[in-house]
Amino acid sequence: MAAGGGAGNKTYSFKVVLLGEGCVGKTSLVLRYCENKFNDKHITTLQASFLTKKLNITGKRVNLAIWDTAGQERFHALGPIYYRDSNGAILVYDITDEDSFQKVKNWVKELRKMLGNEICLCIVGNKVDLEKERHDGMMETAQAEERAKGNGASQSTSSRRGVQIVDDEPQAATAAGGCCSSA
Amino acid sequence: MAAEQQRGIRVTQAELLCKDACGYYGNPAWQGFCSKCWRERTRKEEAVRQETGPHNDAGSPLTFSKFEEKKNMEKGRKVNTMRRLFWGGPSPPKRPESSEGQAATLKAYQSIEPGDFTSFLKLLRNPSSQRLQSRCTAFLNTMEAYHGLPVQKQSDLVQDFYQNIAVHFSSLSEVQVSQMMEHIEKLIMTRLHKWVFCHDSCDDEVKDLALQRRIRSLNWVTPHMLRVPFPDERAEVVSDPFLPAITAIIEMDAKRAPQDKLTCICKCSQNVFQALSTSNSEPANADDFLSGLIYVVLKANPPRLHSNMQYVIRFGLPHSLMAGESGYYFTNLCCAVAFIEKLDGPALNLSPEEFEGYMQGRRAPSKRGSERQNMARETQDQLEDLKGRQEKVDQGMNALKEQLQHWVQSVQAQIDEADDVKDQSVLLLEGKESNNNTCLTETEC
Repeated sequence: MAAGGGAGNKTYSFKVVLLGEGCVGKTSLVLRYCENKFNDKHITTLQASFLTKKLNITGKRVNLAIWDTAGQERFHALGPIYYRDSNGAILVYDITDEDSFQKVKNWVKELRKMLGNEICLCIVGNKVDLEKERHDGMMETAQAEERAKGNGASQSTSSRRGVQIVDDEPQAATAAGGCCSSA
Repeated sequence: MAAEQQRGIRVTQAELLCKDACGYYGNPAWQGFCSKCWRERTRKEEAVRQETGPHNDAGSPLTFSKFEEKKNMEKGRKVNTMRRLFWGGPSPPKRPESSEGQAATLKAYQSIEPGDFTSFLKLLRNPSSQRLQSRCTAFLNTMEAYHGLPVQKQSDLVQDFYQNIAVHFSSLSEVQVSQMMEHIEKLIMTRLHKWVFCHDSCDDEVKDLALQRRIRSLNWVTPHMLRVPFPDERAEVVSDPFLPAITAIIEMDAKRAPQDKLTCICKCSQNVFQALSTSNSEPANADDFLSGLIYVVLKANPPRLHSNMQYVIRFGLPHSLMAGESGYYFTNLCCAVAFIEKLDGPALNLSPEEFEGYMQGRRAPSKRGSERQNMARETQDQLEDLKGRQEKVDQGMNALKEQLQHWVQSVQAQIDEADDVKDQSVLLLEGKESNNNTCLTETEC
């Protein structure tokens, strides 16, 4: 059902989970993506944990349901409940925080083990506007890691500047869809 | 003569009293009964009439629906045997004359407002949707006949039925199909609830009790330990901001259809977001939401929580569970329950010893904050009460003032009247006297 299937004018709907440690900016990322807003007084939504985005990819209507997940350490064991039946996962880390990158690596392993290649992964290094605080060699590691796993995409973003918030679109064979940079 | 008069009055008084001798006065309009006794009598009579003639009286909904149900059951059976005889397979053939009527019915279904279950039921009673109705009735009868099956089997049967029935609406748009399916789900599950909820074949009841005990033993957990963004203690605290959410989740057990239960969960979640927004200006993220929800579940200890969740998983529509907002909230509730079941010291920022201490009741959480809250709430209630009473007194005063004014006016009017009468009578008397005088004078003359 969630996988869409079928042809014609059907609307595809996909479930995408946002995984990552607390404070890496998952919420800001998703708010920037869905509402193009960052830490703004004009944010009208009461919550940023469940958001939907309508897309049109090569003439096909796609509904993305983006599920924010609780990222704090104490909630780590709940991961499987969240990512069950999801079509895609966005793994977010903070480029200034090496631990958060380690977490992402663990997530990749866990997801591949639990869901195999059913799920489309996208690794996002957030907060590129804090470039100078970046830990050396982290990005390179990320890309190497992901190439080895295959079927993934790696992006660096900044919710503050609105750089390259990339959406993850499993059904549209190519892993990455359109960009919506603003800034 | 005086005695006779008194007796006369006594007789009429007895006649005035209610015939049932309840002590109140009767009324000729109610055949000499008082209003209460009259209502009771008529109700009894109506009930008798309904029992004796159920077939004539289409207005009595209970008996009539039963009758129709039986009729449809028969019809469904007949149709099924016919089908088996002629076509051998379960796939129903499309009859040309019915397809037109069906198209009309589908159009009618399209016009139903989302969530308007009553008009859906009305449409289902239409002759044109006979097939859909008989399928539902036949399915319900099968399910009731096989209610002893293991619950997982029953769940499979219901899910298969959803898939089969969805074909019926295949010409509608996706949104409309899901709306129709929600109606179907409500129709089916409201009837099946008593058979399949907390079924004997599974240990739901045991798990319910275990979860309930677990939540009860965690009654000492404070929002602070769960790191729920809670309004500052120093700030003016009227009541727990999570109270509406707690009420919503307790309400879930009272609903029968899985989607209604989901609606309760959604309402609860939205109230959690509302409560979070009072202490945080930014949109709530998943961490805040989940800890808020955990707090709500701990506070509410919703009745039969495990059974309710299993019921929704087994018999709910897949599309509302897997995708969409309701699915997200339901997943979070699952997370909250899983968290509560595995809760230990580190998750609450406590050492294992401290956690054990709390669990065995040796330590009590600082009650100061909650005590102060309670006191504030009590004072608030008292103030409210006083305010209400003050208003009542004011109202009474106004009424009394008005009455007094009326009374003064009426007294004034009476005095005026009396004065007039007096004047007139004086005039009359004077006139009479003068008349008499003239008469006298005349006779004298």
